[in-house]
Parts: sequence; structure tokens; C-alpha cells
Amino acid sequence: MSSTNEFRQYKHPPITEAVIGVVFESNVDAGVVNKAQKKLEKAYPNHQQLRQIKMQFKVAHSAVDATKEFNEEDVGHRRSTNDQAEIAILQRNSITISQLAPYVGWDAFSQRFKRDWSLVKGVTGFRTIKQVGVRYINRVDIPFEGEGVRIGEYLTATANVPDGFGPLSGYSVSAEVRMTDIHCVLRLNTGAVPSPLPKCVSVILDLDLIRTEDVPQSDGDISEILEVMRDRKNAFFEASITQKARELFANERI
Amino acid sequence: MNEYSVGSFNPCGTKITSEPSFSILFDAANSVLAKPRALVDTKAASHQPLFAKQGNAFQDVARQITALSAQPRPSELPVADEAHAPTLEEELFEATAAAKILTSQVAMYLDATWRKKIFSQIDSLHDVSEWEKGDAPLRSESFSTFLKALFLLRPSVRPGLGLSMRGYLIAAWTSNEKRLTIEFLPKDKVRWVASISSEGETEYAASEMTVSKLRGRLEPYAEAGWIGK
Repeated sequence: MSSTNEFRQYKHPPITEAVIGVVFESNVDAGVVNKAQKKLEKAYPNHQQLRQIKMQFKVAHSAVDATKEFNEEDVGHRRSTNDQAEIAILQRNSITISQLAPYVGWDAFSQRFKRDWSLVKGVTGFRTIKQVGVRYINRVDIPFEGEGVRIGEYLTATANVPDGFGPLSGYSVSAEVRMTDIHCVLRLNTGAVPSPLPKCVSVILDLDLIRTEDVPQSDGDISEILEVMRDRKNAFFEASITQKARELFANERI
Repeated sequence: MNEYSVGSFNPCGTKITSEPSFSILFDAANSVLAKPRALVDTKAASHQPLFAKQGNAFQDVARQITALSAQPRPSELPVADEAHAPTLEEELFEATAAAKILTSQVAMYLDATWRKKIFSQIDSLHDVSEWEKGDAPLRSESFSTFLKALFLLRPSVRPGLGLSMRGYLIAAWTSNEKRLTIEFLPKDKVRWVASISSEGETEYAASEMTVSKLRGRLEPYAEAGWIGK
């Protein structure tokens, strides 16, 4: 695959969130996870507990025999910087490093992951990894005057519906692309979303690349595969947008 | 041609178009639609949807389809409600954190210096040591309206920020002769008051409207820089 240097560097990339995640084969002891998250305190001063709500209903012929159960369970830790742009999430089976906009670039983001991965591994020790993932959630904001926009002029990954029956007022597309050469699956989710900007149509382009086959286990191999996955994600992104969309990413800031 | 490629029936009984609008290759063998022939019985009296049946094959199909849908973003994973009522510090942190995460949705358009200044002002407004009992922290619906107003007005002169007792953000600009105050309400509503002093007299104007109309209404009352190009 082409080197990352060949891909465009946008002035204002449309990335709303970038994520690197590692999933372990088996759960880590909750106490060990708690100890590991404390190692991240200096980089991420703010801590919040993550919760999971489980609801179970048993339906029976008789109302007497029907049961319901409701449990709220602490399942992990969320650490964040004061500006909330950098987030680290530790759960018993995973570590996830997230960067919200403004995006700082792959070099800084991947370095942060390596730093945090090293800190966490220092506590958990070696754990067999069953999945690594790179996910970029982009949002393309298309200004419009008048009735609307032709999404197809900005995006190639979009919904295709017959013409002549009225305008599209919403859509959502989920697709899975198997990239056998790098043993990865790319999950694409794209669709119109409410825009945070006035007079804009916003479209999400969520690219989630995961590897569950032949998963690297050493730090060096993990770094290498993350670079490969990021390159492939970039290539897919560039193929999903048009030049008209690229021009949007150079708009002046306020 | 594979029996389950384009032109076949999918599990829900809807015919896939035989003239796909996409030119990409559809990998039938590995798709969620691939299934042993025995599971497709078009002559069955019952028209139960595939997922209603038991068995690992059906669960696999359901699982694959679920996997296609987007996983929640890490930034949106739910955090725990504390066993006790939140402290004031926790409540103020939640409010400022929510505003900063909202800002990240448009941060690619914001000047980095101004973003830092907005955050600094928000943190200052929520200083626990200076908090008035009974006041409400910043409401995210109000902050959302504020962000939209920024993009409409595009001011080069940054306003001072304040907070109403109800948790609505307030932006204010002042000059020797003009004053403009905007209160940002939920649901893209704004309430503004403007004044112009001239020849010993002060003229006031006020209104409540949707944020999309703000720019046109304010232009007569704004100094240079309060409303950008």
C-alpha cells in the first residue's frame, strides 16, 4: 500500500473522532484494571466510571411466573483531559484511545496510544490480543442554499435510490468490506445526521477497520499493523469523497 | 452464478435487484445472506421471518447484521450515576465536559486560540469556589445554540461570556456607544437586547427569535467585528 505521505493533509480534516482499540482474549481482573487506569491519571486528570445496564425479562404463561431483573454494573473507566479532546477507556477486556476534534494528526495520536499501551501493559502484563481496530468518524458538512444538496456530488459512498420520486430526506447505509490482503474487515456506516451548523447538510462517514485474524501480539507488530490499517482507511476515505468535498475541508476557521 | 448472488432472495423475502446500482463485487460466500439451501424454503406455508427461528445458523445471521451497525463512540459511552447524589463539583464538571464535547463537533472550524478562550471562560463561570447556590450550570442545549450563532455571526471581536441563573449562556459585546447582549436558549432560540447611545439619548431594541434569523436582525446594532463576513 502507498506510504502515508502520499495521502492528503487537510487543513481542517472532517474528523470528529479517531479511535485506536485493542481487545483482549480474556478479561483482566477488575482490580488490575483499576490499578492500570490510575497510571493514566497524569495524562488524563479526569476520571469517570463506565456503567452497563442489564435488563432481563422472563415471559411466562402466568404473570406470577414472569420475572424481570434490572442490574447496573460498573464495567470500566473513562479518563479524559481537561478539554475533553483526549479520552482513554479501560475495560476488563479492552483499551480504547480516542481523539476528538481538533484532530492532532496520526503521528501524535499513534504516539499517545503507544504511550498509554505501554503504561497499561506495565500493570496488566502480557495479555493475548484477539482484536485490534482503527476507527475514524468523519462528518462532511455541506452548505446549501435553496432546496438542498446532491450528496453524490460530495460523496461516492452513499445511498443509491431511483430518481424522480422526490428528494431524499434521510438515509443510512451500513456495509462491510473484507480486505483479505491485510486480514481486516472495514465496517462503513454513513448517513445523514442533524447538522450542528446552520444551513448545512451533514453526512457521517464512519470507517471502522478491525483485524481479528492473525492478530499481532508484540508491540512492534501492533504498531506496524496500525500503520497499515490507517493507510488503508485513508485510501478508502479518499475514494469515498469527491474533489468538491475536499474543497470544503479548506474553509477558513472562525 | 452462485445461487445466493444478485438475483436471489434474501432472508427477509425481498428480491435483490438483478441490476445492481453498485458496480462493486458482492462476496456471497462471506455475506450475511449466505446460508445453507435447506434454510430457504420458498414453498413453506409459514412466512415467519428468518430471525424468529432458533438455531445457531440464524443467530449467526442476526449477529452479523447487528455487527454491521455502528458501535457506540468511545466519547458517548454512558458513565455511572454515582451511588450518592452528585456533589457540586461533579455537577459542574459534567456541565463543562458536556459543553467541551459539544464543541469538539465543530472544533475543526474553530480557531484554536478562541476554542481555548471559550473553555477558559466556561471553566471560570463554573468555579466551584465562586458558585452561587441555586444557580444552574450551563445547559448543553443553550451551548448548542451558542455554537450555531457563532457560525452565523462569525465575529472577529470575541464576546464576553456569562451565565444566567437558569444555566443559559450569555454573550455580550460593548463599545463606547453600542451594547449587544444575547442569551442562548434551548431549541435554537435566542433572546437579545441591543442599545445605541447617541447625542445624549439611548435607543433600545430587543427580541426573541430563532438563531437562523439573528444575523439579519442584529446588523443595524452591531459594531465592526461583532458580525463578521
